[in-house]
This record gives sequence, structure tokens and C-alpha cells, in this order.
Amino acid sequence: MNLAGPRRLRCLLKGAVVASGLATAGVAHAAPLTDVGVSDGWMRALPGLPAAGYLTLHNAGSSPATLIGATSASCGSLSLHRTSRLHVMSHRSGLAPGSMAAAPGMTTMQPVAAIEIKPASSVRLMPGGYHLMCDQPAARVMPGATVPVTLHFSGGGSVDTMLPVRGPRGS
Amino acid sequence: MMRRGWWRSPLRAVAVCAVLGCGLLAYAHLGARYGYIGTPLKVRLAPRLQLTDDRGKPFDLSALRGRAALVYFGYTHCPDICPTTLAALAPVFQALGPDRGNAVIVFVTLDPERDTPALLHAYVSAFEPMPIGLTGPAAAIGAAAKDWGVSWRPAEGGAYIDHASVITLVDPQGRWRVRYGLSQVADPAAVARDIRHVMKS
Repeated sequence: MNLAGPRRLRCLLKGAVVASGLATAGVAHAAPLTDVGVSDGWMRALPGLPAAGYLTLHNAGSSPATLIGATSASCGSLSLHRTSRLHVMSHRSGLAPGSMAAAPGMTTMQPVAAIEIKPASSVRLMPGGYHLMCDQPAARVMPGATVPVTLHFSGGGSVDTMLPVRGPRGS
Repeated sequence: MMRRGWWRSPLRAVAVCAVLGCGLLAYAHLGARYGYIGTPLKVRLAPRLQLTDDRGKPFDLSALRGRAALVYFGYTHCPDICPTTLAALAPVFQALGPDRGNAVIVFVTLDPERDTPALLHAYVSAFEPMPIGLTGPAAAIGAAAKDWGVSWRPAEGGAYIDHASVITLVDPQGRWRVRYGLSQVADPAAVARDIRHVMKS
């Protein structure tokens, strides 16, 4: 590089500012994960009821990233959940034999300990699948607002994102 | 000794032809049948649904005769599959166009302890078109879910409920016709076509 004196100085200064910024961020959050990106995030608000958050996680890195939790100042608790189909019928189902053409399986929503995003791939948290569960949402979690969420990964890294809040209809 | 061919016995020939003929008729019948996007149910009068609506008034499914009804069992504290399914019905009603006034959504709670008529009313008001919310004594809800073939059980210490997330289409004569899961409702034009079909036949 053949930079003139003042320009080089500015460059060095900029570098120092960025470095100190990272250091500050490092104090707030153990280690920002630079390989993980978030897109298409949103949260569905229902009046005074638990809200579900959805987003897509992209792992641009060369090793797997594992989402192990999430926190938000706007939620009493925020946890990873997954909606899935149970194919085993419950004994409580009380289905009369031959009463229906097809006996539907139950849909269950269960806590998830970890969601792995393989290197150079994406995982979608979407309606009817993986989602973030915001229990006891703050009154400000209403359509038009934005909910700050910190996603925590194994190894201590974290990613901050903002989820725009939509109405019950998802629009 | 060689066995005689089946065609040598007139009775057997008639029997074979009858079986083939029946098969052909059945095939033609199936071919002409309307193909639902949902899962067709055995057509029969829908089980009773006598509960309390979200305005606190007595409700009887028979009051909806003359209109098609989409009946869903869920609960308001269900953050993912219930609102996702109810929200998926908005484009179905859009696709129904002028027929939309002849169809209603019924949301039956599986969580009557928490889902009071007032809470249900606030909940259903958030959807378009607004479903009729139903609640009632736990025993009546349990019996209704059983009659409607909706399996369910409390989960995570009662905070959530595992349940069959299905919409049952009831025709204007009050009969069970078709059942839908979320993946089937994802095609609103096809569901609207099904609803129009049961409105006419």
C-alpha cells in the first residue's frame, strides 16, 4: 500500500475504532458469531398470548453452528420449540372405529435443546415447524413494533437480530 | 386329464363377466368423481356441537344449516399451529369470492379453563373472516372432541395441548364432508373449489 500520511492515519484510526467497537461488543456478548446471518425474521403477536418468532439462519462458515437458546427483553421467556406431527394415536383419542376416512395424528409442540445449522447451509424457523416461543410478551409486542432478540450458540457466540411484529394473520 | 376352460361353463362365464363389468363401472364412477384437495370423509350428519359462543350465547351447529362450516379444534395459548391454520383460511375466503358469505369458520377451544368467552372473543376478532369461538364445560368439550375425532392431550404440565390440527368441512346440510391439515389448506384456490363443491352437492 502506498498511502499518504494523513490518509494512512485515518485508516489506522478507523481500524482502532472498529477494534474497540468489537471489544465493547465482546463485553456485552461473549463472541459475536460472524459466520451466522439472520433473514426473514418476524414475530406473530396475539393479544396477551404467547407469540411465535420465525427467521432463517444462514451459516456461511466451514463448521456447524448450533443454536441453543434465545433471549429478549420483550419476552418473559424465549425458548426454542418445534411443532411436529405425532403419528401414534393417543389412547384418549376415543376414535370410533370406522368413524372417519382418515384418523389425523396429533400435532405436538415441544421444547428443542438445539438446532444445528450445517456449514454453508440454512435452517428455517417457520410456521408449523421450528420457532421461537415468546412467553409472557411485553405489552409493546404488537403489530408494527420490533422485538430485539439475541440468539445464543454453543461455544458462547451470539447473534443479535430484530424481529418485526406482525398481526395474528401474519401480515 | 385336461381341465375344461372356464368359458365351457356358462355359469362361470356369466360370473366372470359380471365381475369385470362391475369393475369397469366402479372405475368409470371413480373417474368421474370430484377430486378433493382435502381428505374426503364418509358423508354423514356431523356430530352434535352444542356449546357457548364467544359472546356468551348458546350455540348449536344446526343453526348454521344452509351455510358451509369449517370446524377447527384448538386453543388460544397455541402460538404456532393454531394461528397459522386460521390465518391460512383468509386466502381461502378471498378465493370464495361471492360465495364467502355462505361459509363460516368455527373455532372450538380444547382449553375451556383459560379460554373464557371474553378471551375467545378477543382472539377470534383478530382473524379474517372472524371465526365463531366456542367454549363450554370441560366435559362437553371433551365429548365434542371425541365425537369429532379430534385427539388431544395436555402437554408440558398443562401449558400446551397436543392436538389433531385439522379442519373439518361441514356442508350446508350439516354433514361431514372433507378434512384438511395445514399442508392441504396451503392451496386456497383448491380448498375454495372443495367448499363450492359441497355447497352444490
